Amino acid sequence: MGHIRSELAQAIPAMMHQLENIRNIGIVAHIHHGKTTLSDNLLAAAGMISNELAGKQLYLNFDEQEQARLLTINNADVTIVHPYEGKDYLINLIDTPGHVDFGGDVTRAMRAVDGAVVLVCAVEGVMAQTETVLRQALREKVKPVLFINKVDRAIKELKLTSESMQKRFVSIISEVNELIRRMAPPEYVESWQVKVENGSVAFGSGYENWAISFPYMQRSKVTFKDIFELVSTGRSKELATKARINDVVFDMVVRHLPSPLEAQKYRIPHIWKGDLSSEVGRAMLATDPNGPLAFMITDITMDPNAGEIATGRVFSGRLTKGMEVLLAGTKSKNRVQHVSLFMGPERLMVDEVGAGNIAAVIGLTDAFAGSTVSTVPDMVQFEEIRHVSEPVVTVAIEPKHMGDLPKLIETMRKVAKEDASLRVEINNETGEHLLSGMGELHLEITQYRIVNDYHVDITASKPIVVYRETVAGKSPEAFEGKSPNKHNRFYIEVEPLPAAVVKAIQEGEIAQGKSFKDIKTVVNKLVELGIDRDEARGITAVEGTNILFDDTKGIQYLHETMELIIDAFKEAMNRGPLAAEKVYGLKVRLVDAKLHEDSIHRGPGQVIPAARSAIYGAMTTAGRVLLEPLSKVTVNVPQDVLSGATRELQRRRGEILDMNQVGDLNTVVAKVPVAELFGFASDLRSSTAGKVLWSTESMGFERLPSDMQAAVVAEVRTRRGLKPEPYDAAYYAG
Amino acid sequence: MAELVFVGMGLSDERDLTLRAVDELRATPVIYAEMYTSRLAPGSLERLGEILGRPVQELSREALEAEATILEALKRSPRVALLVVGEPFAATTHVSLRRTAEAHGHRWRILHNASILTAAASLLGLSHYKFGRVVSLPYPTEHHAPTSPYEAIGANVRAGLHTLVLLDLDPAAARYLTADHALRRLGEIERERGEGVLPPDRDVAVVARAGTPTAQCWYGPRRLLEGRDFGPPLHSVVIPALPLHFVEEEALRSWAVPGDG
Repeated sequence: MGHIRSELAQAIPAMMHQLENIRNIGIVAHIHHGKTTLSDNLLAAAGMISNELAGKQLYLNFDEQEQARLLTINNADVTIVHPYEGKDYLINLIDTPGHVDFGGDVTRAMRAVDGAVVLVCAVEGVMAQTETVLRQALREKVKPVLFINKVDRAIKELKLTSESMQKRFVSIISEVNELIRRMAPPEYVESWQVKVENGSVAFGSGYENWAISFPYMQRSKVTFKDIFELVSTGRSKELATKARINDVVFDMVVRHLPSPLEAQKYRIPHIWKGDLSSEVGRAMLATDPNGPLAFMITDITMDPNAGEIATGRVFSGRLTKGMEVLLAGTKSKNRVQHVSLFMGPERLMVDEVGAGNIAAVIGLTDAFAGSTVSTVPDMVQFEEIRHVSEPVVTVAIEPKHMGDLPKLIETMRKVAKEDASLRVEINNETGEHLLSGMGELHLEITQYRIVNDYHVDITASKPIVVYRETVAGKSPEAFEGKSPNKHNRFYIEVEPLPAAVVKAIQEGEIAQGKSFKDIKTVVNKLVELGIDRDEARGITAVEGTNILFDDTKGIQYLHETMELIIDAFKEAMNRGPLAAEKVYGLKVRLVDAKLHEDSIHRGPGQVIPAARSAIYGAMTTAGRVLLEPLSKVTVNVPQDVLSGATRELQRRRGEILDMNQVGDLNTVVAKVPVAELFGFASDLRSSTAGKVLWSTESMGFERLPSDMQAAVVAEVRTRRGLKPEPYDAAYYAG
Repeated sequence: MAELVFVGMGLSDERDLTLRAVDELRATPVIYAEMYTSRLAPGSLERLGEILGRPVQELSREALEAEATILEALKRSPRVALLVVGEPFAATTHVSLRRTAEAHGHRWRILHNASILTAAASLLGLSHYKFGRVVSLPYPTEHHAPTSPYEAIGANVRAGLHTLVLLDLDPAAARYLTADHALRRLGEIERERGEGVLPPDRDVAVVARAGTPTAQCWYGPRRLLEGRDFGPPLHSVVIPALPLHFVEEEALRSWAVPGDG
């Protein structure tokens, strides 16, 4: 193994510049569909780890924590050399997590790659997260191929006949193609369809280390019947030599997934909105290693020895050891101390990494996941990497020893930097250190890391659900908010934003903030989504999923005051009037304002409270409602414990959405409030005698049952140190 | 039904209060003062309390704007006084408190005093008949850096009217916008807007500590007054309209700074 590695180490630097022979890929899948096992066996077969270890060691899951839970948490990346039709290809493989609690990482990994192997379990078929990860890939213009995994289990456990097996494959393939049709960029809907005939679909077993595709069958004369024979009679080992998994999968990758040269032509205009005819624009379109450097960081990991390691994609130019680089959007300059390629847990130091490759860099101390790194001053930043999921669960963390407090704060900031789906809030007033994430498991794993990787002993509060506030309808009339000196008045109306507008904000089609690069496009988008054109023209600021519109005309001095009104809007949207939770999907319209003649009497101390009271008051008269986060829970259980599983879902206010059965295996899909999911893992295990696989996925926010609202509001307010009852409209009018 | 008396304190210290004011305050059970819209010499309120033989309670901006403290006092006491630096309603927004008191059935009265609005012009020797809109210049912050003061000066200049520019202050934080800072800020807006209202050679005036024993004025081109130390607060700026009347011109001559060539 050491020998092969050093050979690789010698070969790779030279291959890095043969762009047509490079493939940057990721493997994406629903949880437990076997992604890590597949990755390990691909590496083993390619000579990276020994055959014996593969399948047992879960090489890519090198984090102790991940091995214990058999889950992949962080991306682990690896570079492989694969020969195909007489040429050597360099394949940069990025591993992605399968548990949707870590969805943020999947989205970021997709920015770095051009192609994705979509893994679907032959037993379970296309699942909720298959759709999610495929959507994340297609949104980044990442081309998919399909690998149907666990065929061995389908044959042995489901006892399918050769015919019903084939039928099952056809149905999985057409389901995947339907998803591609629905979600792919329009120009690729047809050409990205996966097909058995051309070899963009392969089948096999990551566990048993074999795979097959139609072109490979023709070449090797192995037939589907042979496979069925060998597997059902327990002779899979033979198959592993006849139809080696790495040959089949990497052949598919090389043949069907694009090289950086090909992919950057259509991906760059999609992920970078700068001037394409500029020097850096042209260099990226051409994947030119001799152009200016453009490097996007997609992941940051902490190495106990080396410190922060930034991983990302070089779109143009070269990352060279010792060079000075600029971080777009900041004034920071950092020096590149080391450049390397990833080979599992180890890094291979190189002198430089050129355009079209994935690199790991040490020295970019001011960078975070999403940073644009360049040698061009003021380079336009890459499009923000979108991930729709927002944190829904929070814990308050305390150090066990007060002396560890500074270290804890630093550690929390570090873990948040590593994992973009975490939020850290240090409240100096209340002395709380809050950690928010995608679910209970996500937070447990993060706490484990704080203790074991960073060696800070902590205690954590019980997890708390993150709620949202909105309004039931339209405010009956404009609400008047007065400034403390009574000489300025603002008139506000609120109502829920149309769902389509909220979705467009969440998906980044309508940007956050108050400066719109291309206001015409934003206005047209709003009109298309059902906002009146006159109203749309007044768009002033977007904060969270809420929009402020200025519906006034010709009010003197209002332009000098607008920044302060925006400050008030932002404050109100981040701290609603009901329970000081974030506001969701609100349309805020400023319909009138009366201002003092002199600017000193309409400063921040007057305008911000006045506008905030007007917004809060309007929300109060419109009917404040609390929204709670929901999870889509998918449970796989055998027939004998099915009732235990459904009972467990129902007693948690769960609503069963779908149930189906294949052989003995039942799949139950339910919608369950996150508030009811605490402790679900262990309860479900005991009510199903441990014979269960389950996963969750965010389903956004829905209205809390109205009979529960008053109690939950009082509880949240009390926890925040507020009086239990929210204020009434008269309070905000005063 | 009670009476709310707004008492002007003048511009210097407790000795600027009128004899009438002192007499009335001696017969007033509850006396408040606000010191956030301007200020008197340090210790003025304490010394006034000794003169009156009863304490003068200072009210914060929050307490005064919330109005509840004063309305409560009016329920308890037949007469309540609010002391305000200068002239009570001249450069303040207290008129809303007067309206609230009225709405609650109380009477109000004013005991007048000197204001910066007249003192600045008097010191400089500019004609009161020729003043246009008064403007205030706030400390510029990231989200509040208004340029309307510049526009108002421009409108006054075009109409042949003088402009008194009042400067931002935060006595609680002992922060006072200096005339030097104000002139530089106006110069900055001039460069941005380029309307020629305040070119570097434009003659302007600075009034410092108006109404106090150390009051002083300066007159000259903006570029010569910028960067100058005008001593302790409070400062104001005056932009005289041109051409000046010959009497004004003669009066200003006594404040002129030496030229640079």
